[in-house]
Amino acid sequence: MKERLTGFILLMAIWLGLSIEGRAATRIHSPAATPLTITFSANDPDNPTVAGNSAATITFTTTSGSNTNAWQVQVQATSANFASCPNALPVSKVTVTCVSATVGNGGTAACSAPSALSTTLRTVASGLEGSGGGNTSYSVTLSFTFTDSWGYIATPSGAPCTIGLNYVITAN
Amino acid sequence: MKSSQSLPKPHLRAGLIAVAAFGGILAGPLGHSDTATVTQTLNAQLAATGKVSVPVSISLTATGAAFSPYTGSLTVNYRVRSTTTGIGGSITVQSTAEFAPSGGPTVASGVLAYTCSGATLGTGCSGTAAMSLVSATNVLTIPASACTGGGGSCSSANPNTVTTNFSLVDDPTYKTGSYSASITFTISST
Repeated sequence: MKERLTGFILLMAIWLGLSIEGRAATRIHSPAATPLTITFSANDPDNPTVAGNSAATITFTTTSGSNTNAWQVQVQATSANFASCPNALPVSKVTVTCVSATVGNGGTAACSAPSALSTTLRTVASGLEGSGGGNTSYSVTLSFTFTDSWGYIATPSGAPCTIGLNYVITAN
Repeated sequence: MKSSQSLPKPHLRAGLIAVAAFGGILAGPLGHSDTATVTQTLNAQLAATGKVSVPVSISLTATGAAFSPYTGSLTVNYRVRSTTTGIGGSITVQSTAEFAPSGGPTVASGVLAYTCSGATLGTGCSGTAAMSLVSATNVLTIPASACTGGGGSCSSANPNTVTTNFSLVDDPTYKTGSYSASITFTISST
């Protein structure tokens, strides 16, 4: 009996090791966010919703992905308020909306609901990876809107308020 | 005659189990998740600007004594934001059409004047100013770094207001009747 149990444990351990070792890890390649800078030109607080001058596009590829593994793109602001502003301008006044998300090689992609920017990571798109040994391409397009107010002191021309964004791409 | 194949000895079995389990752990979930981070910048350019509004019309009324001036007050509503480096801004007023019909007072003769009071953001005009057809005259001076509403570095009032108090000379040479003139308020900000 002891010998049978020992043999069973031995076989299970070997099987577990082989089953995990046999699948290569998903790797992310060529991540990019374009353009470098998106600008809100706020000219009339009585029309407070100001669109960014460009959509943002996040692209990357993966190798050794699996249709059963998840991927996601998250965004976070580097601080709670814009920098170089004459008075406080919270980053929460900016809303990010996923416009589209695509993935090849049998993967899936879905946009998350719009959300206000924050120093907390917000998921903007996610899905299941494309599979296969070759490159799988991913693309996520985001739009940004800023809510203007008479309560913000004007900025001198050429000296805007500014804030950084981090996009964190994860492939499991 | 029976024969049986014997299993490895106990210490050897334990070693095989340990090696297999260790190999399984090494090949486990470690390294199966990959992450990458890319960055972007958002800029917000907030233009200096202002909005002003006034009632469509006001009536100047006699104050009682014969040939005493006609008077009336008008509240100017405004919202404004100015930069930290500019010269601020202003609200000005100018007559855009003479009194009509003729035979009564005229803006050109300087009989229509105003004073300012009660500004909730900026400084109202000082003293008495005569309305002009040829140039805008000051109602309010707006400082740099101005903003409307919310308190703190901005005004608490939203909208902001300043009152213009008009006075029109009642000259006995004027023919009896009703007369009207047009005036325009303009706001600017830098």
